[in-house]
Amino acid sequence: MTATPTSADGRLAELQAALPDLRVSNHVTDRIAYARDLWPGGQLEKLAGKHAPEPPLCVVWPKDATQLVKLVGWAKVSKAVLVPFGAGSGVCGGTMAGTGSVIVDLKEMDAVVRVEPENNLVRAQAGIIGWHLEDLLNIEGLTLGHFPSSLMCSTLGGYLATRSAGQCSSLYGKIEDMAVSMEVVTGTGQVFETGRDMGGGLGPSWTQLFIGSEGSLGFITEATLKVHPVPEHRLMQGYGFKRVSAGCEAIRRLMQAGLRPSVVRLYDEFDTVLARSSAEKGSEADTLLDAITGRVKGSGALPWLKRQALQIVLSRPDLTNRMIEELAPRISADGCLCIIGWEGDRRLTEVQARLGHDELIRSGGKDLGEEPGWHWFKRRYAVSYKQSKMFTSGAFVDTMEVAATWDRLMELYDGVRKAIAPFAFVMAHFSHAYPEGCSIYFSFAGPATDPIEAKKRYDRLWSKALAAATRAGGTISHHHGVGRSKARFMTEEHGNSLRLLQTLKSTFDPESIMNPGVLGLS
Amino acid sequence: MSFDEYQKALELCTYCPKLCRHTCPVGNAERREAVIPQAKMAMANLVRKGQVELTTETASVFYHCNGCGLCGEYCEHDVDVTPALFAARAEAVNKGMDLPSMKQFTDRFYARNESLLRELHHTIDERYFVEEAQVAYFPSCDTVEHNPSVMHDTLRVLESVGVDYVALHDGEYVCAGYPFWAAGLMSELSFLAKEVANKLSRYKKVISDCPACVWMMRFLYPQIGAPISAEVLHVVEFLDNYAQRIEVSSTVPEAFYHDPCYLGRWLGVFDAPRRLMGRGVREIHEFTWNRERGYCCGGGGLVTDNLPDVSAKIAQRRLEEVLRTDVPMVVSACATCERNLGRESGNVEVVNLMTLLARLL
Amino acid sequence: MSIPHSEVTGQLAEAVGPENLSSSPVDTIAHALDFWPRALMESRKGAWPRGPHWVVWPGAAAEVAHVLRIASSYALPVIPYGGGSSMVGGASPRGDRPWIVINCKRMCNILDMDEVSMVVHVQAGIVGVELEERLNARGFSLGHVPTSMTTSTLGGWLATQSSGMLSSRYGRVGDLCLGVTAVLSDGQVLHTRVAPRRATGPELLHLLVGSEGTLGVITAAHLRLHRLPQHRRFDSFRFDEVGPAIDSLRRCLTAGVRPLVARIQRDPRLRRQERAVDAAEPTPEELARRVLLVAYEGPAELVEVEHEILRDLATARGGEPLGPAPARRWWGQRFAAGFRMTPLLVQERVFADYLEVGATWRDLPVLYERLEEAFDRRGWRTRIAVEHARLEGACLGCAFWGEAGSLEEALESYDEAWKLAAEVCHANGGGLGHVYGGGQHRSALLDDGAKQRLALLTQVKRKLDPAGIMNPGVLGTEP
Repeated sequence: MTATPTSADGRLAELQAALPDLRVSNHVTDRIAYARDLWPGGQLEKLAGKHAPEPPLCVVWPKDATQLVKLVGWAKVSKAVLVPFGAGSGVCGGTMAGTGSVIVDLKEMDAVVRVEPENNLVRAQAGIIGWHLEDLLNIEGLTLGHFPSSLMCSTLGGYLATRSAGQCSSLYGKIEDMAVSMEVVTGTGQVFETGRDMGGGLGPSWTQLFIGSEGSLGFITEATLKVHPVPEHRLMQGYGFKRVSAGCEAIRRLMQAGLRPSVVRLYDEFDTVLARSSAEKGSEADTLLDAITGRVKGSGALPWLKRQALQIVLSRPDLTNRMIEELAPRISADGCLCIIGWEGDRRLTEVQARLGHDELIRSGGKDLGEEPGWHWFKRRYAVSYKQSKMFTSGAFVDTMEVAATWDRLMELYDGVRKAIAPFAFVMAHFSHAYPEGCSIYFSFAGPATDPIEAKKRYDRLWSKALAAATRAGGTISHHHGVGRSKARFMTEEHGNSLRLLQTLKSTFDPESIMNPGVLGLS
Repeated sequence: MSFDEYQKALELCTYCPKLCRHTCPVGNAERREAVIPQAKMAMANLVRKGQVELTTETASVFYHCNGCGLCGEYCEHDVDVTPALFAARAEAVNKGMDLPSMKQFTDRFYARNESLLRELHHTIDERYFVEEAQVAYFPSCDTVEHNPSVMHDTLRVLESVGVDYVALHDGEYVCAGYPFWAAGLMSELSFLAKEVANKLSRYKKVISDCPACVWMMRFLYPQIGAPISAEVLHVVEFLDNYAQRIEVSSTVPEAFYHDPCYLGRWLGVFDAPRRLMGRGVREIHEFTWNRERGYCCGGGGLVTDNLPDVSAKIAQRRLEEVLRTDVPMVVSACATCERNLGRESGNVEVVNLMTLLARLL
Repeated sequence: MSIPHSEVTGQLAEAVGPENLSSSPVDTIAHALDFWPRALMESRKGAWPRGPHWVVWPGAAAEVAHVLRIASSYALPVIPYGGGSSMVGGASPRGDRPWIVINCKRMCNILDMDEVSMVVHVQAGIVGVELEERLNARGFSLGHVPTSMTTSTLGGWLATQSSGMLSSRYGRVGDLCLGVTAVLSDGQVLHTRVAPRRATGPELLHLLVGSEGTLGVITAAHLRLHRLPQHRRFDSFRFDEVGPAIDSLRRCLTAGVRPLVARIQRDPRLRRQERAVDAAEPTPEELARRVLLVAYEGPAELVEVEHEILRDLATARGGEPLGPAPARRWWGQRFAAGFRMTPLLVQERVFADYLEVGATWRDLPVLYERLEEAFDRRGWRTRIAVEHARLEGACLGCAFWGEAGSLEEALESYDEAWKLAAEVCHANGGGLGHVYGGGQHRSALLDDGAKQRLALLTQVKRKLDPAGIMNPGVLGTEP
């Protein structure tokens, strides 16, 4: 065993000698491009001029599991750090392992291995971008039913590693419901299939235990997933509820009635104003800015004035939030917007939509017709474009998705909202509803004219908000994952069951070569 | 069109969650984060702001772009990546930091021009070359170099519908200057454009089989002070007026239609080529990525010359959908597309629309 | 090393109270066997197995913790015991070591009922039917109905990842579980927090679900419920052969229907025929016939539509509608299967067992045929039903039996039959072990991939149970 080289060049040379067939790059453009994911804290650092303070040593692109095993072998011997990488769209710093790390880009392994319509299964490699997988399935008349807003910039491996959930999870399930089995390469260099297509489920489910491991146990290289026929029918509906609590109660009853909608979304008072005004103006990218600044007279025409107005509004978020709370019932005559979608077999879709409609009306919903639902459907990926304009206007924007059982949902909503309100302007919608509970998706924006100061405010905001979430009995993340940005909350989240996670880590990655730091592990 | 004018676009891309990355042919082919649109624009921004030094390495990513604009179809910020990255290339070449393979580009351009001009006059009878005419035909340089029969086929199809008065343009350049634009050689482009515009303004109508040429002449030339007074059309746009007059003696059962980026997405011409194709093809197959979001063949942006492996991979990816079927033919209306796809198509024939129609007359 | 018996007894008495501890033969013999047919056959040889040295009935997780600390310090193997209805020897002591059986049934309380969220927090020692009845009384149902429901406990279900008859609609028991409390071998009591769903690392309860007592003792769980009443509907179809029946079921699930239960089995008229005096041999056509029995549950209008969808699919494939009666009749006797094995097993020279194997839709018909053929060629009888259908496939529940020359030969035949079944499954895409867990029996029969997966359990077990006291010898772990 050779002595660990101290120089980056030396280590790189060792890697190339050990794996001469492995595609490697330490090109400056790659080290910059792979240094960050989409963590908003990182965007603030970018605003402060730190575009890549801790770039990785290099990027490698393994072409198969065999190369990965060799790579793991090398990493163990030379005490290197390996970071599995899909498309880098995570928002929790999950791929930011810092100086000296080796980014392992899985995208050379991006094939659809086989489609089995008769079994409602697809086998695909982990490096495939979600949108491309869906394209290939659609050609066969099938769908995965997994539609995260990052569909165009994330990979299957990323979904599995972070436990992602798409917009239609209420019908098609979350990624852990879709995955049947996966091939993994662990930090010990073992390769195995975590399950079977059907049957033989003896012992703990390694499929469920590697899903959500965020690269801390090994690499996910391939997966078998359930697919469905492309829906033959789709219906969208919109309802208004006077207060968000009434809307929550209504969707609880809907989910507990034994119905399976594809989409369930309830916007709180302010998020409703935004959603409704974007329906009129047609672009959500501008309307957040407009909605916030629109109440300030004269801000419509001049971009620089709009920017000023935004700063004024954001610099006192506590006031802004309170103002919205007071005004909200008067702003939107229809109350809180609730969008419900149904799809699938024509008969099943129609009967469930009818039963669901009756249920929602019974719960006090005002029938707003199908327009609001279709508007959301047509613009459902548009929301992600908002953040760029916010950052370039001197503000930071982020989201927080928590979840709880119904009995403590409003407590969670109030608690987190109160925690964020002093730091940032906040709004929320409820989605990913289940019979036993629901997820709450908070969007918040704060001033960032001084990005360094803003980052401090940002960090404090997160600490306070997640503490409030755990106090209220909610979970700190419904589907974005933990990465590094929330690692410090893992003890609160898991309590003493964290020991089981540590056991998995010490079993599958005893040398800590796999993405150290993520999930708060080593 | 200076680099700094793209500040807003570069800033927006820097903070964008990369919602267009699934479209980028180069990004998909290389599987490399550094060459997705967001990263290329972010690098341009870093260079512009002086946070990263402009070197051949950092500037290299600007050249990993087909200029296809597919990313713009999925951009809600109205960012136009192609001109921004070409401006970044201009910045690079001005500072001497362009790609090594771009060295002596201008000399090579003019040498090729000379040689192709000779080829053109060799292939087409001199009687076609007149200084003034109702309609002048401006063939693509790739047509002249790699597929000169397209010129004969075009003239034949036109004659078959009674348009027998098309001349060949009589100028010193077989190129409208796209390569200069893509190389960031803006003053060379300016010079060439003015010369070409000058010559072509003698005609009433100019038709070209090169979508990029048409786009350049219609939209870019006026912006750089080289307007053409003639109406500039793609051959397909022109022939569409006579579509009903096309009479074929046989037909082809089925073929895919590939939208060239500059004809489809950039010029908005989708239906005319399909109408024309429909005169000779019974079933037109559509790619999943078609029309406004037609996927690039890999031939634009000087990628074929600078990054031939990448260009080949892009073409292969485009053809995957065809090779999964039994359809034996892909039709297009751009010499660059036909060349790039033709190299990777195996047993599938990639054919120019005019050539196909001429064959079936 | 000899075990200081009375020392251990004293400490255990301190842990659970002397009235909740027993070494009396009445109790040790009662806990000596579960329902593993092979062990039951063996027991006819002469001596009934001795069983554990101690049986304890802890009343709380803290007492379980104390017991495990004692067991660890003396390196005594431990079996977490629910109803002792394991079909695979998961709950019966093995070898010569002095076992402690932890009978969990005193921990049988409902700790909390959240009627708003429809979540129950309940101790794991509760017997299935008792849990269901208590839930029903409050207007709820769990939706987990294994054939052993009157004997087995929630803890046993979770430990074996049981499927239950209603898995097509409600999933396996792991799908109903939102969190567990478990005691590890060093006495630490772990709780996995409850959330409807989260992305905070792997869902850790899945390390314990299916671990069959090798990693810890599950003492409580949070479970998702559904509300009663639910409209229920039954329907039945007769097919000339199994292929179209399987196809109808597949398409029905693909369309998005979630039947309460769906089952393809032999035409029940055959049994009545066979029982009749002077019964004629059934014809090959009669033998090939299958019935598809279905039940639906949910809002009335939705149930009607689901019924229509399958009806259209089935009739288009030659299915003869038989109305609700056959399905309803089966439903009324759904626990009867548990009683059918015993009359066979009391016969000295008979061997019998029940094998469950899962396969994708494409492999299912061929696997069905091959299994039947393989056993038939050896002169052994089979009854195969298609059950536990889901989107990607279904499970074959295959009861098999045969007669040999002697008990010894019967045991040999039993092993041969299982070996044969394993070969047929491996060769035809079948995944053995879908319903009953692995226990002592199934691990040796698995294909390489499955064996490799079980080896991982051993790796984890070394860390969580270094003394090797937690049910050693099941799921391929070191005995």
